[in-house]
Amino acid sequence: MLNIGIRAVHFAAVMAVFGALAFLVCVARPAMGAYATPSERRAVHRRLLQFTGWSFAVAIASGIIWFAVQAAAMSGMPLGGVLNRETLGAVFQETLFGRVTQLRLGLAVALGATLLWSRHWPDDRSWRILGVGGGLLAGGFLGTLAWTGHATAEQGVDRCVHSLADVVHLLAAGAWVGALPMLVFLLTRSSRAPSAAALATQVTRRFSMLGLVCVGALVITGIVNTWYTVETVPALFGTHYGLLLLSKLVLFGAMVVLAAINRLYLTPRLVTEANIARSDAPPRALRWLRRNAMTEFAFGLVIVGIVGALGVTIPARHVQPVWPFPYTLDWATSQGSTLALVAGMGLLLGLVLALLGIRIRRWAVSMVGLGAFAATLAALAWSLRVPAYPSTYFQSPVPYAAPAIAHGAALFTEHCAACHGPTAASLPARRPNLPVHALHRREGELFWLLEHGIAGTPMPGFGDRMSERELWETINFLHALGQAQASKTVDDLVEPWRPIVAPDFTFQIDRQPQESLKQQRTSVVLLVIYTLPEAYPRLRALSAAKRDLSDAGLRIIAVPMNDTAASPSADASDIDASILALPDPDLVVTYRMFCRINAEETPRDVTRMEFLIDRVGYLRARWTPDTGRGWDEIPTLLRQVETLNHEQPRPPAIQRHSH
Amino acid sequence: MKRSACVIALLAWLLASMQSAHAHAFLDHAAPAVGSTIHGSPAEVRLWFTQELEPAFSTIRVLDQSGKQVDKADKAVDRDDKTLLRVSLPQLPPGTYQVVWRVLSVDTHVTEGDFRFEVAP
Repeated sequence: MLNIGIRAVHFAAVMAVFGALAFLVCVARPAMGAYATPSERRAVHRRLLQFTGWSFAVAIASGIIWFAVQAAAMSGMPLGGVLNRETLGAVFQETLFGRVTQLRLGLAVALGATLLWSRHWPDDRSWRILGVGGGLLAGGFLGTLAWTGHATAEQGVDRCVHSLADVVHLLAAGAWVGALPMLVFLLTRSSRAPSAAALATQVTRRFSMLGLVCVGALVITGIVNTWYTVETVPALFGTHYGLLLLSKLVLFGAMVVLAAINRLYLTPRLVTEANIARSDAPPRALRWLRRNAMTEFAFGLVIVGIVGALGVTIPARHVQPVWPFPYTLDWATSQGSTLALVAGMGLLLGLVLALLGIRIRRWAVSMVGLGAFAATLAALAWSLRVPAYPSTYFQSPVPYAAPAIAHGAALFTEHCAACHGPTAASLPARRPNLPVHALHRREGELFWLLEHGIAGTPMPGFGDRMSERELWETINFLHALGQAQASKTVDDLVEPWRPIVAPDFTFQIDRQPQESLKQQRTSVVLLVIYTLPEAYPRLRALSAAKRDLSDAGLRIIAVPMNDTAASPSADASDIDASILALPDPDLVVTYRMFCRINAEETPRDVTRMEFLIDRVGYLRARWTPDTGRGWDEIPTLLRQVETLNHEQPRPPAIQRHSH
Repeated sequence: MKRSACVIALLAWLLASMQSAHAHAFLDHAAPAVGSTIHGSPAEVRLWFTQELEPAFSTIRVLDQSGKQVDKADKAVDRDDKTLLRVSLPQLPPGTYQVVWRVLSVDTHVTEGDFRFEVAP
């Protein structure tokens, strides 16, 4: 809470310093050059120095408090406890936040010196040094804030792009919002000046130009940042971060509308009013302008407050989004291309009519066009709508891996098999066909249906019988069941890629450190699940060919099908120990699901199954001895590996991180 | 006056509605894997996170069933991979062990968590 507040104050103060100096360089000096007397210019100069001086003081004070508050949060100690040399020193010297603070401290010292120097030389000829030199330092002071935020959490190119976008965003926001107080001051002052209207017009014109550039930069960089921190629409509507961002966008929209009114409506009126009235009273348009600028500034401050909060909120992308609406739009449910064509034509027609109406100045035509546009949008939304639940866009926090799938299989037997199949491993399940459901529904949707049941059907909710983790494990099993069904046609020849993900598993060769399938990025994996003594000849053959196979880029992982009599006995000294993994019942349960052939419903009772898994984790081929000689011929196996070696690289199979 | 009061109220509401627990670097995977059984004592525990870590304030502890710390207390962030936190272990007898971690990500946010693994003979 304190962190949010102090962060917002610091951001606002630094933005004010930079904004005032940007205003001096881009607006005040060029506008005043021809329309203000030297004494007026000096007055503005003094006021600007006063304003930046105070803002700078607030920035320093809030910066120091922020550092202490942040040090407390980072070290996990209470605020009073961190105020010692050791902790503050560690934060200052050993963390990125501390190093950025060091840099910002240096910039602050230089900026403070510049401001002081300008105070001693109030001559308005020194404005260039203050404006340009001070402006650059203040820009650095403001822009470096980007490295105290979420951008640093990215890696590689993303970090550069996100950081750069953050820097530009901060500078643009500073130049716009931070300059507003000076704009108000100048408008107030110029309402008393003799050439009031002319100066005010000049100032607002130039300020609009500055504002326009800033708004453009804010929109572009804002989109980049939203992509990095939010990424999806559900995350925008269903998370704290997203909602904060939405309220920020609404306020930003209001600010842009006010700015547009100032530029398009009030600035032209300044001139006409001044020409007509020529009285002593300040023109109405000028007062209105001032009021708008003040409102804009107030909105800007609220936005900075929200930014303070956003900085300490988990980016939406990393949170389960709670969907707030009873419906969602799903393109997949519709007759895609026809609907797109009709909707596209409707939208185009509406737009053309609306523009035509504006062109020929017939507002009725425009209205009809806009109406058609809106109606098409509504009809499109109506035809794409599908029921949604709060958890529709949840992503499974449980990795798609053998332990979770095997546990899910057990849970399925216990809770679901009575209605959905004779045994957990049976396929296809009784109606409704669960694997098909699992493949065609979002996992978040399945989660809701499992937790709460389906009203109007015998399907009960299991939220009171299973933990959240168990529900996800059951869903993982259903997903594996669907994938297993899709893999029925996989045989011993590598065919073009299909999205069948090999469930992840960990394994241990001898007493070596534990490894996982996911780590095997440099080689194709041959997973052999064997039974002894039947598999002795096979293990011997693979051991003999191991060198050729590894040269081709194949890693062999052999796992016994059951624990008992698992390890090859002493008489098998010609079996290469580096291919033999320790027993793993979960792995066997999981991969047995993937061991069926065409039209066969239950997993076959085989003593051995072999799977070929490509470098990015997809299941690509399968062989069981009862289907023919297959991979008994080592050259056949080598050919499959060669085929995989020559494939175009593909992004890795689904990678979820467990939050 | 009324308007500024509204603005302040709105700001206060937004700030008040914030959650106080903040978490940013998440555990991606671990070795030994979360909840897994490992045969023989592992030489170290390694945790991979989704973001780069601050070595000064990132800690990892391995506890035995009685809650006693059993690791060698030499936790460190990997020199080449700043998302990897590791601590080495002595020879562990078979049993269940708990890994407790608290990490500070470079974006200044703290996350905590724990998991268990089992050492089998």
